[in-house]
Amino acid sequence: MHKLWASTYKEFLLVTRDLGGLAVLFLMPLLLVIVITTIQDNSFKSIKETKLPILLVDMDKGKVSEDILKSLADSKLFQVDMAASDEEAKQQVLKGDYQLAIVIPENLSSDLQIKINENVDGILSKFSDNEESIPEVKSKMMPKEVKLYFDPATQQSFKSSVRNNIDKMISKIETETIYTAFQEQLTDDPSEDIFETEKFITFTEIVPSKYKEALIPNSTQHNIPAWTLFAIFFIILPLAINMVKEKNRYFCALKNKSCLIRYSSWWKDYCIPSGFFSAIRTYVSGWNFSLSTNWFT
Amino acid sequence: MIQINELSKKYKGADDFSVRDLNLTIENGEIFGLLGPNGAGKTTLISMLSSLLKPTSGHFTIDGLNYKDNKNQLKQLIGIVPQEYALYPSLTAYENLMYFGSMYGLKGQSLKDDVNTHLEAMGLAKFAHKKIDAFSGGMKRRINLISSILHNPKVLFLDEPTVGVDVQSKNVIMAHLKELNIAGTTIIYTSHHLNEAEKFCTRVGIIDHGTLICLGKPQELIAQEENAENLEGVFLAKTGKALRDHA
Repeated sequence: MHKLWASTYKEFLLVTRDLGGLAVLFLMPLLLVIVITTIQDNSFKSIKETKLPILLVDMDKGKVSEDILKSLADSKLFQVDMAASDEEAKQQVLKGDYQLAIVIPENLSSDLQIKINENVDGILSKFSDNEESIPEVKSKMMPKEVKLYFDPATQQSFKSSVRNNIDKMISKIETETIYTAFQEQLTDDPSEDIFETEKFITFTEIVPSKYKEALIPNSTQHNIPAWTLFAIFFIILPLAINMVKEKNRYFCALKNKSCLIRYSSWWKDYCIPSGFFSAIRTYVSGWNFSLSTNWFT
Repeated sequence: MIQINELSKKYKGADDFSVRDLNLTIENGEIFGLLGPNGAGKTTLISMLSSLLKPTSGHFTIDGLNYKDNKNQLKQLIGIVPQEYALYPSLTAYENLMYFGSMYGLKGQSLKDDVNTHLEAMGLAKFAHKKIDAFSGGMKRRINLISSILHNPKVLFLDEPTVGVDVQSKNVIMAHLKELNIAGTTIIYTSHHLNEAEKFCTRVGIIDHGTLICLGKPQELIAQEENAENLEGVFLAKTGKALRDHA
């Protein structure tokens, strides 16, 4: 214990007298935190504060595209810009101007309506005794394809999320169209509510918080694992430098193999105090920066 | 007593042995000078005896303690004064010595007293609280020596302890070493200062190409060698005048 204390005290003296080194050791973690959090802050802002710009190519000009546009606008996550053609949208995404482009095909609304009407007519005719009411010819329509162009750098999770949301929007529109088709077939009064079209199951997102507003960690706080790794690097670096220095000065050999070893374990009495002080230097500077300032909030 | 039997050392990748089948006995209380040209194997031999290097073959004992079986006990007995300054430049002389004393297991008032006594004896008391950085070569050498003798070793290895120091510092160092020897410390000393070795050592051994080529009291060796007026003459006669440059 006495030797550990002596080594620690010696390390303390060395650290406090090496003002240049001390300054570098404090500044480097600060620089690290600034760089990492600045990088991370951009993606944070893109998620939290800014709307993601997306392109929409509306070749349908119908109810479906209108509903998709409205849903996208209502989500408050996207800033929707319009493009004239499929090719233009593709080029804009390739250039990196937009992360996503949605191309709604021609006649999607009208073809969907025709398809649903035919299905509804077919279903209702099964319930009817009148054989004349059974439609004899069904229109032959190719399945419609909504194209999604993604920036190659877009994360897979984001792609999946967008795909699911578009799919959900179209399903909703399809369902509503089916209800409407049935309504038209079953009653002449459009104001009469036969079907309840409101969602029966809804989701409410609740972020647990002690305060009125949800506490969302800023990018500095979010990056604690990242700069902790770097902090370890900053612990190892001075330690390694010290070891090399000591070795060059004959110390390593002396401490490791000479008479000192009986009383002193080199690892315990030298490395631990050195590492301990390096760790303190790194963590103090990092935490001070992270917690006492709110640069990015 | 230091008993060395057939001790050899060959470094990895080296073509030849640095120390080859060396046999030597050093009695307690001796001041033994280990002399030789550059690359002769002096530092290798001292490094093996002070347990810094593992011998390739052979063995040695210090006070009957074997390197293999009593490594830790053996290390208590010895002190090493390396050629390089093994000091922390940003610490004061006192702080350096207190730290090294603590590493030897010394503590409390007795450590402080020992440090102050040695500083006084080496004429460094008034510089005790000055940083090593500001010290001259001679002052650093003296602190380097004190840091290795704080635990009163029975055997002290000195690797060129007076290199690069002024005459005054050298006199103080040699006087202090004499005092230690009188108090019972066996000293094994390497140096290129042959005049110093001639006066200081009770016995010298000249080593070349890893082999002990000459052993005896300085005056006896001088008397035995024809045309040799001093130890330097003996040295040149035994090792030749060819340069020993190697890289």
